[in-house]
Amino acid sequence: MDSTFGIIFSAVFISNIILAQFLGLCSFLGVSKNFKNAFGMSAAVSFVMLLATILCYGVYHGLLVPYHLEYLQTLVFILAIAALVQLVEMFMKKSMPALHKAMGVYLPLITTNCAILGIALINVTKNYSLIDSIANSIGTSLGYTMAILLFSCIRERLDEDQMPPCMRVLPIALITASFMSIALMGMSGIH
Amino acid sequence: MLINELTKGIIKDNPLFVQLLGTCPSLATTSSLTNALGMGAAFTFVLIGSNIVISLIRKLIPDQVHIPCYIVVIASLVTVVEMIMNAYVPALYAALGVFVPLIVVNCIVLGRAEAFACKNGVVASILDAIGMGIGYTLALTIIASFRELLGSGKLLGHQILGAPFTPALIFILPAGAFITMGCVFAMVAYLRQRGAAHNG
Amino acid sequence: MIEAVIMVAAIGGIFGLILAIAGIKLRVEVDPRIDSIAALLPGANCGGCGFAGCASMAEAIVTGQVPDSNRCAACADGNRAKINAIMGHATNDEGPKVRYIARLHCNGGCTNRKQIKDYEGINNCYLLANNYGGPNQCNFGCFGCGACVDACSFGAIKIGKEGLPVFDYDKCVGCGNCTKACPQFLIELIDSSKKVLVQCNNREKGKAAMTNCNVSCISCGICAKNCPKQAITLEDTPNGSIPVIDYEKCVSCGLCAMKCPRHVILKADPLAAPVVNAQPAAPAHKAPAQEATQTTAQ
Repeated sequence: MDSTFGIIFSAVFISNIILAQFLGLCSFLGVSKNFKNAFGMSAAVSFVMLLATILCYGVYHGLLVPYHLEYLQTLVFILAIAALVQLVEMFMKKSMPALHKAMGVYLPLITTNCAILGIALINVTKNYSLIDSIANSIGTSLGYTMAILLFSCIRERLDEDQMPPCMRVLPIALITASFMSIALMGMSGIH
Repeated sequence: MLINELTKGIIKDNPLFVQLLGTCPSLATTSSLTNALGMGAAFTFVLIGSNIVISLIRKLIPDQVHIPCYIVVIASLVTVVEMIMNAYVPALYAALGVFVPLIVVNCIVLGRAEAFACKNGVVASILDAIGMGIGYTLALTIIASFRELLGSGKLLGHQILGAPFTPALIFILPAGAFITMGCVFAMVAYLRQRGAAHNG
Repeated sequence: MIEAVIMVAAIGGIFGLILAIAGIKLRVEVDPRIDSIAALLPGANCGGCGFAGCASMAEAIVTGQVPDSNRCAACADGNRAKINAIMGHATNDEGPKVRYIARLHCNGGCTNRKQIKDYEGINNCYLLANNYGGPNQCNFGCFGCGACVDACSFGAIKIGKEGLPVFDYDKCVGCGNCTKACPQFLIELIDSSKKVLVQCNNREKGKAAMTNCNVSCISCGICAKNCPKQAITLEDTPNGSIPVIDYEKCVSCGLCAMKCPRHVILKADPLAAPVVNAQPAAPAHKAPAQEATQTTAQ
């Protein structure tokens, strides 16, 4: 599973960022009440994730490694991501107002999204090359999109009158997520 | 009342069960009780430190850059914690993996900084941080106990449930994390509704 | 150690510089009037004005798409004058003088209607409407599953004990979301000063209508014949008809309510009564022979 395609495949199905690695859960549970919101959120996450991976890779290998300052990675990555999101939001507001109206509201939520920072750190931990880092981020964002879109479709149809009051909204959503996770467990034997 | 700041974080305003913040580590690090306690300890340390620093410098930070400033403070503290854990408890550090640096983006830390530390004095902030830390650790402990006990019959590495008990491996796996969390949240919701019915 | 501080400071400085430059070059000129008008609008984002929220409505007012805030039914009168002042229009004191409120054309609650099928499934008005008209004998009436409750952004509707929606007129602003949401077309926005309401949607006549519900309209037409202002017309349908009141002509005299043999038409002030869809005493089912002797005896 070290080929580039293998990285993408495993990021989508085998170690799905939400259902297996538990990164990005707050947005997953919060924004998935209806399909339109979920779509906007996944588009924003995919977009920012790709840019953030490239930027963090550049900063790590260009600035931190030459000066033996690898331990600063957490701090520098989060600063880079925060600045990137701010920049992207300003750019979108100016040149793509329609897109900004559609998904601009999710951008500030992405700054503290564990998935973005998590991917950047995982790329460093696993020592991926630039191509492999980009592949990992594309695969992760595909996995995130798949998980959140499916989840929102299920949640839209989950009628809350048919269950005990204590199970409404969040507990039943979590149990649904667990079923999705079990489904993906079937993929774990693929090499 | 200052003592109120301490106790509110444990039950009434529990960061995980009531405020629903910090869900990512609470699923990922609770596959065993040791990991959960380690995570809770690291988190509490970062929270106390960040609350102290931010409430000390709160008057000096201009309003437009306050979020990046908080992030810098929290990230520096997390880097310190990472290094301490790597040095003294490397097995725990390896088990927690990427979730130690992810304390930076834990909504609770930034949330308490934004909601409390920037408006209150140092002593109150310390108590608030201790309370929230205890509350979060308590929440993690509850989930981890269920998962480890049912998933492997052990607790803190010691075999509690003996041979006749066949552990349900699923509780250690990600799916079991979701199930446990869902059931614990359902229990919390039930208790709150009962409490509301008694009072209301 | 010192390199770390310098590195972080340098990175922070570079990012800060980039953001500052971007903030200047990518600045979007926003008309400040939009924000001040949006602050004067209710902020409930109910969608009754036809726009996607109060911010969109404010933008529409400023760009001239709509002349003033009249489309917003919930805007306070004082704020209307302020919005006109911001836009530089002459203050016109005519806001909507008429207050429209939502009212229900159905009185078929649990005591009045008859249920003929045992329905086990998701309680959703749209599903029941598609499911052969629901589990009750009357296919035109209210299901009580709350499509209107979900549609109301002001929390003005609740399903009452009779299984019919109860409107809280302290909260209702007449935005019309419930009207659009009801799959049976039972809710209508009616002038709040008009006291008369046809509480039925049944479009069958005679015996068929009577078996549906205790207080159903049997299409007899007595109300239309007796209205002194000719405000009631009978809308014909294949199996019967339903009275429709023209509220421009109606003067709330209540003659139709008195004459209706089935007590379908309600005469009551909606804003005064605590429970609007008050259930009038349903006429006891008399055997036809008894009714005949009674009328001949009169």
